[in-house]
Amino acid sequence: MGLDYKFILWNKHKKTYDIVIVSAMVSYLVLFTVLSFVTNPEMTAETVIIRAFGSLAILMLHLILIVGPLTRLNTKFLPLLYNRRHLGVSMFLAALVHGVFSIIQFHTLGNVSPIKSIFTSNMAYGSLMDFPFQVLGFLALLILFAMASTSHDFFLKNLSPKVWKRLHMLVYFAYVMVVMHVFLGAFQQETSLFTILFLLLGFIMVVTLHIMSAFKESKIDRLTTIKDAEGWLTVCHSDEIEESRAKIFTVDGERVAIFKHEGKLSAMHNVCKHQGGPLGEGKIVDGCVTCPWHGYQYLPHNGQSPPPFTEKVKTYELRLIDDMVHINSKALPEGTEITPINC
Amino acid sequence: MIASQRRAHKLIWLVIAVLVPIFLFFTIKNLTFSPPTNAQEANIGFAYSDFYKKVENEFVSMVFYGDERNHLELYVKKPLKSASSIVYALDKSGNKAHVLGKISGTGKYRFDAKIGISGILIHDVLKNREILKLHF
Repeated sequence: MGLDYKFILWNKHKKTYDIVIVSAMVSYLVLFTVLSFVTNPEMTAETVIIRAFGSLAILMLHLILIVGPLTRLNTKFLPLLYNRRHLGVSMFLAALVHGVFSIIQFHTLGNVSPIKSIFTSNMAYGSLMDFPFQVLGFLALLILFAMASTSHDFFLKNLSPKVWKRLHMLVYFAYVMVVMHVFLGAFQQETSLFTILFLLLGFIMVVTLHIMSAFKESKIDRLTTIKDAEGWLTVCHSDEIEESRAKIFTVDGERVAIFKHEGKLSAMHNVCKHQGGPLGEGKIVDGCVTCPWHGYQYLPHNGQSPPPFTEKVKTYELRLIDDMVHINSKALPEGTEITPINC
Repeated sequence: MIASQRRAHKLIWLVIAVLVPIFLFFTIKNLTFSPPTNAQEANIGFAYSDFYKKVENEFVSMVFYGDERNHLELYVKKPLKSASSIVYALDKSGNKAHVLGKISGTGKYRFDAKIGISGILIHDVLKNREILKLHF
């Protein structure tokens, strides 16, 4: 957690992550360029740049999109998630180079504004097969720009997490537009069975992983326990929860984490206020519930971040009857003080 | 994610999984990845003129070698006012057949081509319009 907004709060993990990203990007670009000129010496430098950066951006977009569901399906992939925004911004920069060079190559040096030319050079908006693919690419680039420019925590806080998350879920639509951009554009001009199959495989992988993780989460959401007349749910035995750890339950459709700290149980909303990380998958460090994604912390007895931080999550009342833990399904307002129950 | 975001995420991906493959099918169903077989079938009973053809106009000149070389040489003499053009072969009926390749400016180009080609069509993919059609 950082009190002041700094551009990047560097740590060892972030530096390693970014070195890997940059190295991989440079290696790919060099390899692509060399192979392009070896197989087609007459290709111009502009064409190589457009193709190299475009293909790099698509590959990175696929990687970014599979990180989320992979971590839901297997927590071993969590390290990839921690600094996914760095991957996203890098991908946007690659896409931007592709976009700028494409606009210069195909839409300048005429008597029409380049941006206007993107939308007016092909007016077949009513056709599926002849739909202007360059418009799809341009719109996808705009979405990626909006995401890259708001990826910092400053915007997360000031836009509100709900609005920020909705904005960033637009990446799904950007992905669809990018796929259509390639299929309606490059693949119509140079038909290569290998590249078509490669992109199809990528699409199938992304869609499959997202749907698998969606159904896994739905299954957890559908787990119901019987609620009594006052709204109390019986969730588990007190021994099922390890010290300094939590167990996650679904209460009225929302995930709730019940933590055990110093032999006492307390419950809070499972979703971190920072970027929606699963608090219940974290542990208690220095007396604070610590989010496993980015280290945001909350005090177990009131769901508030320790001063001077101001994040708060909803808390829930608990009771213990014959060593069975019961939770009141009605969430208390964010930051409400609760009395942890002794096990 | 909170519950509403999880539901939205699931719905979005289910819609993508259903709709996008349909769109992709229509975009690739007419693509050709190898020379058409009708060119090979047409090998029977060709005259000498089928093995060597030449034609030119103000913008391009082209020569087709249907012997063991099996290629078409295209010389673009003047700019075609198109940043990205695809060259299609025309079949014996004069209809657009398979893609020969791509051209990007003046100069000489060589494309693999088989017997049966009756000409070429140059198409501007960005503006979706025909630039030039030339028959042998």
